[in-house]
Amino acid sequence: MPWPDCLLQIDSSKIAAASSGWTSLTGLAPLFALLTSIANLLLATYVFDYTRRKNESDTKIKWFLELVYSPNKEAIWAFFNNLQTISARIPQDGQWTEDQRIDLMNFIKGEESTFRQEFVNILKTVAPQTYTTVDKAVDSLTTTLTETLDNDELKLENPKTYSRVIAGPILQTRGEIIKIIFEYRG
Amino acid sequence: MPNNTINLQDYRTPGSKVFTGRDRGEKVRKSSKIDFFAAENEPSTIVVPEDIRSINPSFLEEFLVNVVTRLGKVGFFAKFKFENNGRYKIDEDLNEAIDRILREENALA
Repeated sequence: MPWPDCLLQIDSSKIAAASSGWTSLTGLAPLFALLTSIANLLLATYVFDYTRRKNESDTKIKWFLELVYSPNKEAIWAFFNNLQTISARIPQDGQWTEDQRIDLMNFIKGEESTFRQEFVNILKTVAPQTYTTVDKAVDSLTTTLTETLDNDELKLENPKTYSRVIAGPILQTRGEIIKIIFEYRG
Repeated sequence: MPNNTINLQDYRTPGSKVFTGRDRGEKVRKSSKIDFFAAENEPSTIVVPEDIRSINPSFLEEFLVNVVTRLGKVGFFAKFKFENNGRYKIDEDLNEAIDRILREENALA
């Protein structure tokens, strides 16, 4: 069956319009090529920079682990374990002498000083931001424990009280410091 | 009491027998005007109340940061004398604080 005439009629104006659109798109090709090149260049620069930063960060983390954390991690556990011995130094009858309180405060400050020498101070040059947060956490713990021991009203021989005002802050600070180290990203 | 004396009794928290924390150290440094003492030629005295149980290094660090930075350790001890007659002895905490200040200063230099 032959095609109807209306379907065979060619609309030359439409072809001209389509042809004109195609021609203008072809004319834009160099521009697209340029934009693609710029995008590729930006992407390559980003990937290069990202890789460089990642490598630097990985290297820092590696050295942090090898030079700071691994050789000195025992100092972290020793500090918190030694602080846990405070319970054995508390008079179980609640009868404190001034010397006992002063000695216990000195013990805490001594442990802090040792911890600083064996771990915290090493952070200062290698990881200054980590140092600042660890330093604050340690300082805050010493302050809390000193002020707690200065409070004559607290019955520290009571296990619940001890747990709340001494063991609790020690464990919390230990968790904070582990988190700070864990989050180190170079 | 002579003018070139700082009596820590005047800066105590009521009911407390300890001086702790950097914030507190900074407040006492400002209110006692200890930084001005360093500029004077006369020796100065810091009085530790007799019933004090502890003055933590972090407190001393902020309290003394400017005078120690200015005078150095030897100069500080030449300038400032401590009247410390109670059971608590400040020497160890004081040395710890001074060493921390000077270590910090060296790190920044």
